[in-house]
Amino acid sequence: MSDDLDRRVREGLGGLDLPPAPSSLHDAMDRLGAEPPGRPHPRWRGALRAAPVLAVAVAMVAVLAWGSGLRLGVSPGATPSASAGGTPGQSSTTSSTPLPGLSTANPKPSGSIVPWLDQTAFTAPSPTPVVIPSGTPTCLPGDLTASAGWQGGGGQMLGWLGATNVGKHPCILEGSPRLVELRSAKTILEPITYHGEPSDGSSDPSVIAGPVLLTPGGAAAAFLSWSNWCRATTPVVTSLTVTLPSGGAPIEAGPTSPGPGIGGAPRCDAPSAGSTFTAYAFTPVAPEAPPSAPQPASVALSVPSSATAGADLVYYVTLTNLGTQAAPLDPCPTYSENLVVGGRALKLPTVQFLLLNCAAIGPALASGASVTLEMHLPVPANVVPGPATLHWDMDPGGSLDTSAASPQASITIVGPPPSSHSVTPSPKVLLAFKGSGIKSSEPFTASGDSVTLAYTYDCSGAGSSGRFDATLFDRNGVAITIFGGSARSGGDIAPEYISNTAPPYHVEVSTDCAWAISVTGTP
Amino acid sequence: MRASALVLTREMGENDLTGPRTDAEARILASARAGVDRRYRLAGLLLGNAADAEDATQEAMIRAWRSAASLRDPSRVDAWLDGVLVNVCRDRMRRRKLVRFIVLVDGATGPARDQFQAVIDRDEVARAMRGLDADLRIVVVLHYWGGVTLEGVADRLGWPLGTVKSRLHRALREMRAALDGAAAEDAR
Repeated sequence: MSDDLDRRVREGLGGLDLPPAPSSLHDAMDRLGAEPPGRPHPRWRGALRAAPVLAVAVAMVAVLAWGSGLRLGVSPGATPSASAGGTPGQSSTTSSTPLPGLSTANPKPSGSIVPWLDQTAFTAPSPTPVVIPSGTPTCLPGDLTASAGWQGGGGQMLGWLGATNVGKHPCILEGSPRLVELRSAKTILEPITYHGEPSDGSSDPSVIAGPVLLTPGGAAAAFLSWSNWCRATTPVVTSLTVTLPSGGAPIEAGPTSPGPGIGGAPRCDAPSAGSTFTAYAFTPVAPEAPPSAPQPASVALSVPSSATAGADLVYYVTLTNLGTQAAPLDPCPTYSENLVVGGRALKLPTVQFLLLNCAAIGPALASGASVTLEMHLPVPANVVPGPATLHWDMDPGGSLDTSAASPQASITIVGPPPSSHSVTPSPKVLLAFKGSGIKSSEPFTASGDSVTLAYTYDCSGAGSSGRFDATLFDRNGVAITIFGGSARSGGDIAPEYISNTAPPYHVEVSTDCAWAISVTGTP
Repeated sequence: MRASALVLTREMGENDLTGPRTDAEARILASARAGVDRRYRLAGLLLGNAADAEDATQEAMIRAWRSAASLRDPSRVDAWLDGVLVNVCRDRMRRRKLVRFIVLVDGATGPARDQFQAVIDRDEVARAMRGLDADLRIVVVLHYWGGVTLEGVADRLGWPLGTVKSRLHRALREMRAALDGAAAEDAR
């Protein structure tokens, strides 16, 4: 009988017609190598944890990646359509230095140098506000056509409602659209609780979005999120009906892209809670930029042989446009830099997008032209002295394509000179957390560039060979680091760099083992 | 809007410290990409639905990439990645105690119905398996669906062979009871 059951189970499970992995998972695997091994890509974990703002970003990725009508392309140097990186078939020549013959004390190249700009794309001032002529009327339902689309993100459905002015006159949209109904074919999906947000859903929820001027042919879009659908059926939404912020007759939005419908339904996370649909305020959609192929470019780094912990590393980057066309600098392309010390990057990749000083360079970098830019990289005071590597590269999606190689240069970190006046605050224990099994710590705060994370684990009582996994998260659910091991027992102590992360922090532990974790640093 | 637009570009874009640097890292990337369909199906069988399967597979491969240095024998990368995935699934199963299977009303099978749920619902053996505790289900899925020997299961999970055998025995006993119960129900 046992053999019968054995065969039955083998044949039963072996014969299951299971689906292949979705394309999104294949894409994720293709991106897997895009983080340095040994360090997590914080955004991936963040996205998995469905932190609201990150979920917005993920949704924007998904929707924009459709390549359909909606394109929200106001990002400097990073239009969504070009975000996939280098253009196939284009070569990029990149040289890595330190350049030979440069003085250690003064790596400054000769000639004109563009001063450093201490600005990221996040802190850059907004584009010049659009002036709305007085007397411009509010958009009426008859002025607009609408379409919508969404995709799954962290269990929610996230997407956009787009509205295009098909009238002959400019009009204004201000506020969020109001949901009237969702339909799957002829079936109205209910109950769904509608919630309107006055912000545009991009970052700061306390900022109320302003009016959007829609010129004839112009477009605006409102971010949508739908969560917690716990009905027995999992529908495909085929139409979405809304009213405009100013009211009026309902407008029906069809699918943005060809296919069976607007999108699916969200995951059931809380069966006892209702389903919630949130619409954010309309925000302008940038007009389609004329196609501009990224120009291949070379990069030469000129760096000193050493940098002092606690001081700025000043170095120089020479960019040369190797393409046949001028590379426009509006929008201004962004770059990323990193110091890798002992295998650990000092900066999280989430906080890059540093802006070139485009205003000082000019509107474009002509074909064959070079420009040398001064760069400043603050070296944290508590970096362990020793060898390090400086990495520098243009971010993908800009008008200069340096994707063929990652320029880097070796450098030695030296300790700060002793000072009788400086008083370094003594580190304190910010978290002392011990126990066994799955637990989540209380939140704790930390300041400065880094904390010291120490842990031990003992799986000898776990019954099987243990596995200890723990993650340090910031306020937004971004995983700063994932740590642990799979030995019978073990531990480690290492600095974790928390620059540009958001306190408070907490640690989540997932294991059968006994463990103890401490975080020390500056409160 | 600009900040998010940039975040999304970075999210999908390339880091400036990319790519494999060692043989182990290259093998991890190659195996993760080549085996994505099989591991997604493995996760789906363990977790019971597509959304969790996708999340778990992605999380596992990220964890593996992070832990690339701990892959001591690159020739065993496939088994190693399977072990990481199964452990991620095991954590998820334990957190929720039971795999959440949504029972669909007769005739209400919408076009977006979860594919794993649909397949499992249709097969009596799979239905019997879904009632097993996490560790029992892992042994059954790896051994019978994955074709992994019991020694291989022990190796992947770091469990003693005797533990694997006893869990398989318990799993089959429980599945037999479930199948017999279902047959008796049908006979009524």
